[in-house]
Amino acid sequence: MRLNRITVLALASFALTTGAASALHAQEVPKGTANTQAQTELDPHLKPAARKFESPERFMLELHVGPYKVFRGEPWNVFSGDLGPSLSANVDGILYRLPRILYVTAGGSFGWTRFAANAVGNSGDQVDEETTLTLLPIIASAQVRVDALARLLGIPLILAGRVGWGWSHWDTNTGLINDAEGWSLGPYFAGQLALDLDFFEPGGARALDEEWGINHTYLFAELSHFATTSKSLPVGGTNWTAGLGFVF
Amino acid sequence: MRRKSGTCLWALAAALWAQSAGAQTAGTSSTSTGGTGGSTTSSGAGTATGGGNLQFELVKIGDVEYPRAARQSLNVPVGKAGCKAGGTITVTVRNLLGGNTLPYLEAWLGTGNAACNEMGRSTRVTASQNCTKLEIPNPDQVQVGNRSYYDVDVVLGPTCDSDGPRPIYFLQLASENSNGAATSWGAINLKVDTKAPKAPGGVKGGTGQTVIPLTWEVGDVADTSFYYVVADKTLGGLGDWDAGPDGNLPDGANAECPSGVVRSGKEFDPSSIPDTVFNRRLEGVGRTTFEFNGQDFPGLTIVPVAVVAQDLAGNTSVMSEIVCLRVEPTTGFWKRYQDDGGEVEPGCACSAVGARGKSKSALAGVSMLLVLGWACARTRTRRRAR
Repeated sequence: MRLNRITVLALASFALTTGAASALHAQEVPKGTANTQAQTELDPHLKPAARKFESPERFMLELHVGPYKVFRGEPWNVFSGDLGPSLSANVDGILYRLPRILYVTAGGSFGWTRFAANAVGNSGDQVDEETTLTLLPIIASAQVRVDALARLLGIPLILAGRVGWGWSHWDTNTGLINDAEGWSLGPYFAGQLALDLDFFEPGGARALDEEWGINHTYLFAELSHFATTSKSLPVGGTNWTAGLGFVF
Repeated sequence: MRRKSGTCLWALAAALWAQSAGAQTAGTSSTSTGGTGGSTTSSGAGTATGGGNLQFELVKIGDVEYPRAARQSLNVPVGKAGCKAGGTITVTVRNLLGGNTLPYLEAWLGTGNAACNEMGRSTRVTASQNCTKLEIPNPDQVQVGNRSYYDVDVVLGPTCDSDGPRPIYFLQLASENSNGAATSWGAINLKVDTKAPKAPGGVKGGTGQTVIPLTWEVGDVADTSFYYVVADKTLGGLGDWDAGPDGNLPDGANAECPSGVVRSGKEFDPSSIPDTVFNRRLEGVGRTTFEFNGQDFPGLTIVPVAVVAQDLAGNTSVMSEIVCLRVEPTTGFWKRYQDDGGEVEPGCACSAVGARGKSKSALAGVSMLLVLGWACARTRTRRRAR
């Protein structure tokens, strides 16, 4: 009896299917059992991993914190010993989503940074009174965010690049005297490397989505450069921040 | 369910309140009619009529003001200032029962285990209980809005000579010179405390133009609730001091910034601070800093300063060690930036970037915002269409 290749394959697949079905049947919990946990685990409709739930992705929120240095190498840098810090929040709207590959977003951020140093007295020595510089940067930007590594390859890393324009309000005081205030503006660039937290706790991530509509969470480190125009007070520079981000 | 349990709690609270009020009335009635065993009665006591609680609004005792508090029982410390002038304290009372009519009051001082809230107005002196009637001169009526208040002077007399609790019970009578039972009562638990707190230590003065810090150590926290910072505003800081023939500094003066007014160890009286002395009363247990403004000392480059602690009873410490504030012009970042050739002019974004850059930057910013807005709107429209 000659069996061609197709017949062999058909028989093999039939045997596998039958075996799998009988194996599945063997795991079923008899009707009327009180072991509801077992029922839940075995029922393909109830089993958590079998359920696919994902709320719509519309926005991103990032909370940034990090050191901020101004006037690097400049003779007037009286704040050289002060690292800020810089605090800011960034909200983006998701304009385009290529599923499991990338996002294109646009949004803005608002931040706060304050520097302080001792003022200088008549003798040229430092006194107890402080001179301060407060920055309130506002940045409008567009972002491309690639999450294909995390979604397709299981590598929990996300890369993002951001381009925008910044307006930073600055205000400088010495003691109670308001010395000057104004705006510095210029282009803004940032690159971000993020660690996808969904990877470490997928169950928690899905619960967060079901309960709160938060699709993804991530930790990030971001390197940014604010290039102020030549007539602006040069409060920009290259700085880094770290923080926590949410997609919702 | 929550609402139901909340209602139950309210009902329980109301029941407890009603019970406590009833117990108080019952207690006073029985005492006034039957008297207390072992007590001696000096005045006739009529039948108690029960009555409500007298309400107090204590404004100040001596020179120390207290926040308005309308309740039956107040715990008030009385310090040296409150006890001065023969131990007379002033209590402001509002008569809730009689509207704007003058309340006819008696005041009783209780010591030992005395609870002199008898409606029967009996003086009792035993080994463990002492209720004595206090003198109340004519009260002054003070009209505040549509309410009448009465400043009542209570003469504590020799009871102010030693520290300790001095509860005073005020009984309101139905009419002037009434022999009948009081219609209501209230108590103020005075605690005589004439011990002055310790002066703050570790005082340090700073240098500056408009912000000159002064710091000190917390010291006797339990007894200190306020601090005074005092500074001599007179030129040279000598104030009313006369150097005398030997030219020596007065006791407690700082040689760098000598003053006759602000001297270490000198008594401080908040009620008689001369105009030449800058002072601020600071609230807060544990406060250890104050910032002077050099503009408060025109013409001075060095200012003697001291810190004084004040306790809850109003007692003040002597002045702390004297330190010198130094007032001098200062320069900050902006001056340094300009001196080093900084070009930017202060102002809005337009002026900050200069004439050449403003059109480009403003145009770029507005364009970007428009593009982003358009993109967002388009995305939203698409989602709605789906």
